[in-house]
Amino acid sequence: MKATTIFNFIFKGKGSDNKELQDHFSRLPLDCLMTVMKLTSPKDTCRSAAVNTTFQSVANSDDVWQSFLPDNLSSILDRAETDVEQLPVSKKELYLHLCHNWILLDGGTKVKWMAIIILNGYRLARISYKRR
Amino acid sequence: MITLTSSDGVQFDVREAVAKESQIIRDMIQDDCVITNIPLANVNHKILSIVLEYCQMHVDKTEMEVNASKHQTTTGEGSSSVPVALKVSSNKNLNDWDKEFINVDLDTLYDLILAANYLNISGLLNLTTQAAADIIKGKTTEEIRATFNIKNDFTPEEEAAIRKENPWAFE
Repeated sequence: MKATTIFNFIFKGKGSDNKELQDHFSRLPLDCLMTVMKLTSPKDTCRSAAVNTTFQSVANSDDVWQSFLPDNLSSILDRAETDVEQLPVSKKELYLHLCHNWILLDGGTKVKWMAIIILNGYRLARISYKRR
Repeated sequence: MITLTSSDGVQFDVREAVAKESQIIRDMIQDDCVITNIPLANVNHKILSIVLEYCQMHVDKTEMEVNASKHQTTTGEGSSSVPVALKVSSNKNLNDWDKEFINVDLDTLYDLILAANYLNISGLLNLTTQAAADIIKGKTTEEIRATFNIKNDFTPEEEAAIRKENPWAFE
């Protein structure tokens, strides 16, 4: 709870508002709120970002978005033709980038594409193979 | 038996196995095997009694299954006294029991998350955080605020900018 208080102080910058904000979630340690957020979905997490500043910082955190990305993402990206360095650093932006852009894998005879599709909050990793 | 004392001074005598559902209590007991009284500064008696109900149920179920499987091996495979279905049904019952157990008001749910986090009871933490996530799922931003009594501390412009970032999420 102490962490939350400090957090509220840092992120809201005004201690007097803390008393007004006696909601359930303001009492939770941030790691608990992150755990809760990870158990929702990318869509719910984006919506949560607009709830208040505490939710926003949790809903934008790398920790939460990392959990929405495929576990083997780095091994897939190792094979990308795209300059991986150019990909967004923030996990949220990376996730959204991968949702909206094709990434070329294993250049040469094979062309592979990867996309992560947001479908009602479920995530699917799809890799299709095409001959060039 | 171990005595757990809540933050408001109420004592609970529980079996060691039940107390050991908590990782921090397990660590304490391992460090000092003669420990018999553990004060829990962050959990009041109301929440502690609910937490202990959870621990008791899960320990009882686990022990029941262990006994059932022992019984099965001693009576031989020809015996139908402890069918596999019993084990399956007892797991199913435990899930049903968890579902019923977690059907609490929001204040209690959050106190339980805090207690499970503080006492490090992974099963209870999973159950409670999943329940909170299920409440959030599918709700609009306004509904989340209303449900948890959360004050919107954004300016209208700030909120509009956040919605504009990911309009698909707000459709």
